[in-house]
Amino acid sequence: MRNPAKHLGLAGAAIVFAVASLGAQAKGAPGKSAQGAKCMMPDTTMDWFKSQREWLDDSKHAWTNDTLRVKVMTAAGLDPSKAVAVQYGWTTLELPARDSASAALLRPMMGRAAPFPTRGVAGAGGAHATFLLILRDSTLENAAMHKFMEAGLGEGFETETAMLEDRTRIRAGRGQIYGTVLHAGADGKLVPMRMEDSAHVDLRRESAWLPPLKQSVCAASAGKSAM
Amino acid sequence: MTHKTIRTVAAAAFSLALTAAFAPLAAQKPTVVQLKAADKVGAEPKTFLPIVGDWIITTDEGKKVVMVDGRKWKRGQPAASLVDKAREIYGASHEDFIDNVAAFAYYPTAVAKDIDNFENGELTVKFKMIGGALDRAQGIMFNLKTNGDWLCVRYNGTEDNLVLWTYTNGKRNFTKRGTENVPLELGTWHEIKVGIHGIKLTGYLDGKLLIEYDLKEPVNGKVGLWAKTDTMAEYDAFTVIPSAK
Repeated sequence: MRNPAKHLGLAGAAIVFAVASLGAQAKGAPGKSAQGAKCMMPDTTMDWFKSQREWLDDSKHAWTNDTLRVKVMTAAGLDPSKAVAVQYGWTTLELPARDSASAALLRPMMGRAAPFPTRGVAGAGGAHATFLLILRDSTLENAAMHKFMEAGLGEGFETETAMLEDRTRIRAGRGQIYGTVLHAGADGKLVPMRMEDSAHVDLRRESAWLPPLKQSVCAASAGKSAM
Repeated sequence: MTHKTIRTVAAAAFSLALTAAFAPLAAQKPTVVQLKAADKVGAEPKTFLPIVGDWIITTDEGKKVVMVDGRKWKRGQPAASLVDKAREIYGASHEDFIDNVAAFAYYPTAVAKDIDNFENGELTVKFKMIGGALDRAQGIMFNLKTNGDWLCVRYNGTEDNLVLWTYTNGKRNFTKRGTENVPLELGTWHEIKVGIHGIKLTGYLDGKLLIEYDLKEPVNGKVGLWAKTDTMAEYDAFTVIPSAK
């Protein structure tokens, strides 16, 4: 795809790049817009950035199931030897149609006995890969969110657990609370879907290690999902 | 002193004695724990004594309210100057309390300073959920003992339920769940009410009775605001209505 933005508009391009990002560990989208350039420089002194970076650091190899880690990272199109980049934290609901291979891999992990790829089990890379695979099958979102929430402090990636909660709430007909689920507004620009208590959204985002909403939407409009 | 004076004094004394004797039978005056001038916006509350967590005074539509701010919560942090605070509410018998704080540091709490003791009646608080990645749980703590034991009725927005929890000897125990789940929107005001009549406990959410439970023993202890881990919430109009047993 040479320049999807030309054919699909910003929103369409964002969706395409979000799909593409399922296999990306960092990096910029091709053809980033001038609007996007403004948000490409996050304040790395902010707590959300430092918290994400610290959580995503796999340099100590502190996981217990390397086989599982490699399995989920490979399935998600990630390189197990590479670090996961800090995330801007947004998705759309138009992400890929249900992917049976991902579902077949993840469904057995939802049981109580099977190991679930949290940080302690499969490293930050394995947990992030699991999140990406979950996005390929919406029927797993709710169960996976609870798995991450109940896994214990530091086991789930709070940024992505928050994103799963937003997706789950939107699908249940409720307002999202972190503003991470975007759609194309009337003018074609990406905007958050219906939110509860938008007045405090950035407070909540801070607690989930998400950048300010404005920055995330800006990055989404430029097709950037990670730094 | 003349006979008339003696009769007047005696009558007054009798009247006072009667008043004292029958006072517990009458519904007593509600005490709304009002924030005072000393409760400065942006600072820790003075009317409530934070024991665990970050509590501040903030404004909501121009009105001062208490906020628990869980953004900095990390595995529970007792409030600064815990020893001084424990001494302030429990005097010399604060050692057990402090020992137990480490165990219940998952639960930010702030004690109502002007309420010495609550045994019977009603406790209400208005709350507004703001956020929390791990928990959005806020409620009323009561029966707070000098050893750190407490009871709590709380609403958790991640589970949409009202639950009575018991905290005894450093361990929290699920005690009674509300009869139905009630999803509430963030950023909107709601009310929890706890009724204590002898060992009978009732729990209400927005006026709807959801919990009925018989406690093992009568309530007798301090009261205050309660939250869990990284909860962000505002509290207002904490009210105590004592009544006879």
